[in-house]
Amino acid sequence: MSSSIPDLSVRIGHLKLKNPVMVASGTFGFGEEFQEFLDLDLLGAIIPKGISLRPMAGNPPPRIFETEGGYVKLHRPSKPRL
Amino acid sequence: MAAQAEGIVLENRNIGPFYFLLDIDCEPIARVAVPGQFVMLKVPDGDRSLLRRPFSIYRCSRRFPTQTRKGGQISILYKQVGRGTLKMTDLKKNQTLGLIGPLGQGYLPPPLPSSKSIILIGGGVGIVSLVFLAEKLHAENLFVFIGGKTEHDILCARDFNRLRAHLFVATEDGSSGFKGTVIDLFFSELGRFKNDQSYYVYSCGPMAMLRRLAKGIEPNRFVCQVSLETRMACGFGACWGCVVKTTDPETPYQRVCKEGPVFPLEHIAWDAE
Repeated sequence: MSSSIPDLSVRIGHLKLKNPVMVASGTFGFGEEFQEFLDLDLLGAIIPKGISLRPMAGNPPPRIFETEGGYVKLHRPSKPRL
Repeated sequence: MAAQAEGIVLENRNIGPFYFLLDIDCEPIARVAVPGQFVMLKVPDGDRSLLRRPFSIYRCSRRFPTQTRKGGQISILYKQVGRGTLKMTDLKKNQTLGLIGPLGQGYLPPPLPSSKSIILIGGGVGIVSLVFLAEKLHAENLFVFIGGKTEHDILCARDFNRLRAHLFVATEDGSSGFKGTVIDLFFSELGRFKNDQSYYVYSCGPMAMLRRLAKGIEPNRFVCQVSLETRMACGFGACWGCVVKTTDPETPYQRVCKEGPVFPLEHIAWDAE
């Protein structure tokens, strides 16, 4: 059995990712929030929250409401500028 | 630095109607936690409650590890208010818990020598994080205002008595101490405190209580920090679900879990909330 690491790299358009493991947009902040819990280098890519040319304040609270086995979040988040 | 850690229940006991004290063996969190920080706790009820619950750290102690203890303990004082905390009351000794912490920005200690004069104002379980703070500050003049709906909601008075604090108690039904809110009581005692910014005020409680404090206090009379209570989802800044309106035009909404939960009083846009 070979001990070499298999090539998991994938191409998506112009992007070449070292593996196809990505986080879903909106679930992972801008990535840096998870640095204390996870080695971000393990991921193929991070899909951050929305970024706009000018900063957007987002909607006022409350933004979240827990439901049975999940939660609802009002989807007009704060966005930093580019 | 925060950690995703496993804790082991040391004790979970009822200390009054609806109030419980949970001691958890969790060295990674106990080693680095400071007053005002919190933990996110996964209530073990299958998948019914997806979100972890935020709890202020009441006590934090480090000790030599033994065969059964890893060397660090945190304590949480919680009130049974809903499904999640009801489930928590069933926690048994040696049960394993999922935790993330310590999280958020804690209270900033005052520069010396002002640390000699400290005023703490806590409403309900909001008093919990102020016990941890008081034990760290070793203030010479410690004034503590505790409020609750009834005498059963007056928490931690024994802790502050042990610290030789000047203790003031308010209950809304008048069953113990002053009849009214803790903010009413604080304002009625304002004459005791010099108007020279030598007192540092720290307060934690429901938003309505803190708003009354902010609206009634003279600007710049005290250096005042408040710890906010709000609903949270992730607890470490990723979801932006726990924001609060601030007076900072550059960042009008800030995360209670990341930039807070402790903020300077004047940093919060109290009219917006």
